[in-house]
Amino acid sequence: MDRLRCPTRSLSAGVAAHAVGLAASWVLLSPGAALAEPPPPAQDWTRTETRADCAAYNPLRNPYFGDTHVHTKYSADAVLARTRNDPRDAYNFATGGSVGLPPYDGMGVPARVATIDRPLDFTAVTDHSEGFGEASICLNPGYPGYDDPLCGELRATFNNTYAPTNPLPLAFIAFFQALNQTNPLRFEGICTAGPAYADCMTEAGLVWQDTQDAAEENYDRTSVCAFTTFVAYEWSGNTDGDNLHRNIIFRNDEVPALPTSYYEESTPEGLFEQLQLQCKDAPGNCDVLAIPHNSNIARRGMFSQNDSFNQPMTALRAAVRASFEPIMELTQVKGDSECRDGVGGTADELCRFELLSRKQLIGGSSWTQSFDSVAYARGALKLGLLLEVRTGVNPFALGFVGATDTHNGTPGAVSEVDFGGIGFAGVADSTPEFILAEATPPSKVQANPGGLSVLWSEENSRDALFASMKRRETYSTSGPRMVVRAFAGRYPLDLCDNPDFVAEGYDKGVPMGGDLGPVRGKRSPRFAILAQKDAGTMARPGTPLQRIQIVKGWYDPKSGETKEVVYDVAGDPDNGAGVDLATCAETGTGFDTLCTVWEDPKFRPEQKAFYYARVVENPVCRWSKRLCNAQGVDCSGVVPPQFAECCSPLHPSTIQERAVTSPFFYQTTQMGIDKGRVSFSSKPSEDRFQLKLLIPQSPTDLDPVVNDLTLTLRDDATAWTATIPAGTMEVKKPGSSYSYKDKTGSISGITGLKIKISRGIAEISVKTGKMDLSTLTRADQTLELDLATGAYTSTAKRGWTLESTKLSAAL
Amino acid sequence: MTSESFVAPPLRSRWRSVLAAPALHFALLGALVFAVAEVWSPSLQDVSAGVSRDIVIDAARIRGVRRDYSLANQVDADQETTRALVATLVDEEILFREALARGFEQADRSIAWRLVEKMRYLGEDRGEDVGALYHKALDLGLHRSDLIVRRILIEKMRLLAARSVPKPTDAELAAWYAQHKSEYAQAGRVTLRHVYFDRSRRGAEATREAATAAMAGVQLHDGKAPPAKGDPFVMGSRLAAQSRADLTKSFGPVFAEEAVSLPEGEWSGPVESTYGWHLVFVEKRLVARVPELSEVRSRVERSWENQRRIERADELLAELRPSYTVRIDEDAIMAQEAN
Repeated sequence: MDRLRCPTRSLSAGVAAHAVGLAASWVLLSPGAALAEPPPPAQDWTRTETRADCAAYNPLRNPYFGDTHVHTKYSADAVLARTRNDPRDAYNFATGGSVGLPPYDGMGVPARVATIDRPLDFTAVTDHSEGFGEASICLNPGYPGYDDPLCGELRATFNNTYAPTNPLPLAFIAFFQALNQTNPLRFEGICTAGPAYADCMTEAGLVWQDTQDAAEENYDRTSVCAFTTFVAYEWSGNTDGDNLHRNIIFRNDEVPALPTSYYEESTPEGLFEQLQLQCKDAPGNCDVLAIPHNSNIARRGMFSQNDSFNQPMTALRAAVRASFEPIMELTQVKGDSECRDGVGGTADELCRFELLSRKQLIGGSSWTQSFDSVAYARGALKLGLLLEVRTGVNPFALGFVGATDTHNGTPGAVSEVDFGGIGFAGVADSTPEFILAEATPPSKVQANPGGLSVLWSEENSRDALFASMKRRETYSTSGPRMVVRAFAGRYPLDLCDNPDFVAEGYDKGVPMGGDLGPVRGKRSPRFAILAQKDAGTMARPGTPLQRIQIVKGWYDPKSGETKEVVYDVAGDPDNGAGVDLATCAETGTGFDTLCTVWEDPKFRPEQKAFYYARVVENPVCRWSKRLCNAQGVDCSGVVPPQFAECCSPLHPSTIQERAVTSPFFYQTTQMGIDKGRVSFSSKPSEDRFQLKLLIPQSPTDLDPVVNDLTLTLRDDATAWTATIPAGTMEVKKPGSSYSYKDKTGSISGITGLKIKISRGIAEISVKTGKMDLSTLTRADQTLELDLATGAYTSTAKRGWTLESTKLSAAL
Repeated sequence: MTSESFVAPPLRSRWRSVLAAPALHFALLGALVFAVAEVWSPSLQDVSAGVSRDIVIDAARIRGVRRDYSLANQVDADQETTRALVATLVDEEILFREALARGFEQADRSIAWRLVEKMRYLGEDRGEDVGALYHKALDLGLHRSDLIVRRILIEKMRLLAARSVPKPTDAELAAWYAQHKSEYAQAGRVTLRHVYFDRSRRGAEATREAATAAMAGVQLHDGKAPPAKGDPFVMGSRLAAQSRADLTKSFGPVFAEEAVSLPEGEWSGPVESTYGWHLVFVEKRLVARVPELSEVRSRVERSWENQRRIERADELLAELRPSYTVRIDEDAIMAQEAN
């Protein structure tokens, strides 16, 4: 694929422009002249908690850095890695405290102590809910399950000396094989036989309670808002070896009595059903979202055109999925999931970043096997566009966050400098020899420090941060703390010269993660991106920026295919920056800040598209290179066998760290046809028509009591239209259920009409009696359906296929 | 030589509790709640008599704990370690005896299961039902010699102690908070506006000159309004209630250090940041403070309870130790590690 490069504001041009503009732009202002700043965006959340307002509240929002994926000793696999840190230790680490790391000696003194280089703003501890009870029972006498052979095996593993060449512990295999099964069962020997697995559930409840207590103890409810914790857990299904894991993040401290684990619900659909029932539909203010992660080791499991029951995705399933999963984890210790060069139409040299040689959580390792496009965000986003065309709803309109997935209880330990000494998998990473081994990827040398989530939010509180995740105003970084603003809308090309860039950005467009369009006319929306490099610390200054890119993916209705392209939009890819591999010293220069306003040169208003920005730093040494250097490994000389991987061409010596913003989604329609059928009759005026429409975000104007509702079916011309006057429909339940029945079909043949609004999703079902639809061609074709009510109008377009006398909206 | 003495006071090392209960502290609590809910509810008082108060730690037991230690850690226990191991052993012995004194071995599912297994292993199963077999094992005193039963009983005692922590009184909480205030201290903060001159656009020297020129203009109108337009800054032009750490994140460490001490209510600068130069107007300064207990009460309560649970197990031991006489074979402790 062509790699397009659009005109970029080069540094020299920028300097020249400013030199000329000096006199004009720095004219001294008279007092009071700076009041023209536009109003800030409306706050889209309300407080559900008892807490103080934050003193640092910023209506134009602040970036908060944190980790949404953290394991402690409450995770069974962390226990096997000898991790002893609990959620309190994890929060302590995140806020600047020190924690021990295994191995521990017999007196409980750790061999290693770790401290974060810079504290985080927020953290969610997300232990594997599947082992909450089991691990405790195995490690603590008191339950009969303690003496189950599997527990004995687990404890024996615990006491063995670790070596990278050790086979995986049997207990580990047993625990995680269970999570590969379609119908997983808890271990009766540990949990006590019986339908309820009473011991494991009792114990799980206590671990869950302590998880909540630890979150409360470390959540700053004062106006300082120094640190936010989330009550959270990980649902850890890996059906058939594919990593389907999700981190489940609750909005506040109102949470279900027990987590729904893979043992209770072995499909994401079942998980969402339980979360709906036990949280969203529960009395009070419970709210929740799920963050899928490691699609890179899920093959087609995480982002599929079918649901878990191998049925094609429906509009309703897509809408539920989208409502629970607004964001995905783009990067973490077990690899990057943004994209993979050479897979699925991706030709992008920056997509060779922290890749793994395996494509399943439990599966074979090979660099030359074929990898799935939808295992990476770019492919998933493209599939989302296709599914949106098919069903009317995009199930994968995903924003991005980054995280660590540490199993040490060390959230935010993302420094390439420190990773060699900290690792993420307890004792398995505890020496240079261990962590540089290739033994069992994705651990060891293929691992990386993971990244951070950055949330744009008015303040550092749970409600505010949760809202930013819901509206996808987030970005992922591979570790560094560059600050990135991205807006799309109607901006002047000189917005980068306006000190009110941010206020204008919100006022005349949407921030990262926002929905765009549809636009009238053919002009591209403008993308305004402002980035500054990581501010760093005295000891470790931030790395300069190299460039900003925009990645576009779109659906071409003519070919029915999706495509992608990468544009360089600011900075300089050929700035000559490099690294002295012997010392890891960085050479050359880069940018402290970059700013651009960009238009899509190939914009087509009828093409659904996504756009995301990637802000790339100058190259630096990868953690493994730093550690190999520290061990004195010289690849031109004799290399000790335990450090052989230091000199393998498969592991890059340098990387380019990056921030990746949530995409903007350019919408051509906001309504979908879920089902539709025209039944043609051989007799004149005896055709029938039925239709089900779905609007993922029900508009407020959809209220048949106050507004007329007009539906129009069109091919080239209008084939059918009907207007139901305001007040005609019977109110079954105000705001959520309306019905209209008329056997005579006096309004354009309509015999039945139902409107159901639930969970913010509107379903409109129409059925007619016998009527005339003879103007419709009896052939496969594309039909459009217009809906107008109050100020809301929308058009759904999709292909219909003819089978004998029935014309149906095709899946 | 065998000396007679009370055991040395327990190690106050931070790892002490880990040594005493190497497993998940809290999960232990779980086991207890279950056990207590099912079979047992009296308090820790009412110890019945009939339990021996003499504890003898002879050379064989000392060798035993040393052996276990070196097996688990692949290194021999030195003298100091041995003393700590012996102290733990004594504590466990006390807890074990206290558990027996309270009849904790009765009607315990875990113990029953273990003892029934053992009876079957010993060939003592004559076709009785499980309950009868359990009682037969108790009558035979199997629970006194079984290591797993011993461990279960010790943990039960510990957990009961942890569970017996009541909600703190207001006075207790206030006293505790007074001691831990530093953990809740709030750093000083400033609310500032700034005009930014971006170094990337025009080079270091020109940027500084422009900022200096703009600052000179402040004198002209003596106002609070920004004296110049400046360039867009990614964080915007007004930042509220920023700690030094916040400012470091947004502007870099050099700016943060200078900005926290700028005068209030007037324009200052230019101040250099990682990204260029800034004219800064400090609107408001919040001094470092320690919040009132009421502001952080829910956090403090949970921290208090968590710490008290750990302490309570130690307190229980401290209460029990004086009623025991402990004899330790000092020679065995002093003996070379090699054995």
